[in-house]
Amino acid sequence: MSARKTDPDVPSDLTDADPAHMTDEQLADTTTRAARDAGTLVRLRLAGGWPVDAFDAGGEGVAPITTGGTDVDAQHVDAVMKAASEANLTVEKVSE
Amino acid sequence: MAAPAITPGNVQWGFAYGWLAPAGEAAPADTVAYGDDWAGNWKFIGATADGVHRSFTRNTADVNVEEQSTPVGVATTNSDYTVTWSFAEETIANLKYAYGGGTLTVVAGPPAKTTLALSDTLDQLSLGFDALQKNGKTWRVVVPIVMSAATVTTDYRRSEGPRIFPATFRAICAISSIIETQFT
Repeated sequence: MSARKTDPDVPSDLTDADPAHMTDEQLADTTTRAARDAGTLVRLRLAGGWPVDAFDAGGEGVAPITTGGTDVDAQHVDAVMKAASEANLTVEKVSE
Repeated sequence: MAAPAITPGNVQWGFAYGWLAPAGEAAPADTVAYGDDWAGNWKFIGATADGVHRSFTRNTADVNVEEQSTPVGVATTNSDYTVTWSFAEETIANLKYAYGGGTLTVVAGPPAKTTLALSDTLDQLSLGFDALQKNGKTWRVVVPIVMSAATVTTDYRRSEGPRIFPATFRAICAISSIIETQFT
């Protein structure tokens, strides 16, 4: 992971290595990436549905899937993709 | 001396099929015939209340000299290329096009629904249309980038006509990127 230099008082080589020196945004990003790596979060994207901007599959804790990509709890992925298909939309997994 | 001959076959009339896509969408291939699907991200606009209208305005400034009463040149100061139509199919996607933007969200439900959150930001679109000539070939217009910005009034009447979404699309791309093609 590349170093980030958002805080000039913190050496860049510590920014990523030590969560104590991360901003809230960096910490959330790191947590999200870790969850993706662990497979508990999956990034989905609404594809080819223009002019639709988002698909809301409903259900607790599932945010609308946008064209830019939305992180979804892995247990909801199949249901979201099935609901999208029934709505004649395509939701695909984003590979990083 | 014989009068110059007119060519009645060049006199054309008839409606056009309009298409919209996200800005930057590639124009359809030349092999796409009149009435064919433009494919890609192009969406057919459906029925219109009174067809497709295209207008072009060039404002100019004369270049004058004292020694000549007529201008020695005419320069373009600005131009306006506009395509208008009134959507006659009441879909929320058409409302988004007419209003110029917004966030369109499909909700699985139940109940299934689609919502449009209005926005101050105008979307950039590509626009095109196909008209049929008497020779069976297409006259095609493709405008790479337009914005929809105008007053949209929809009347809810008992029997006077369908509810419509009038839309005005103004080109914001280089004038040289607007391509008119007459297939022969």
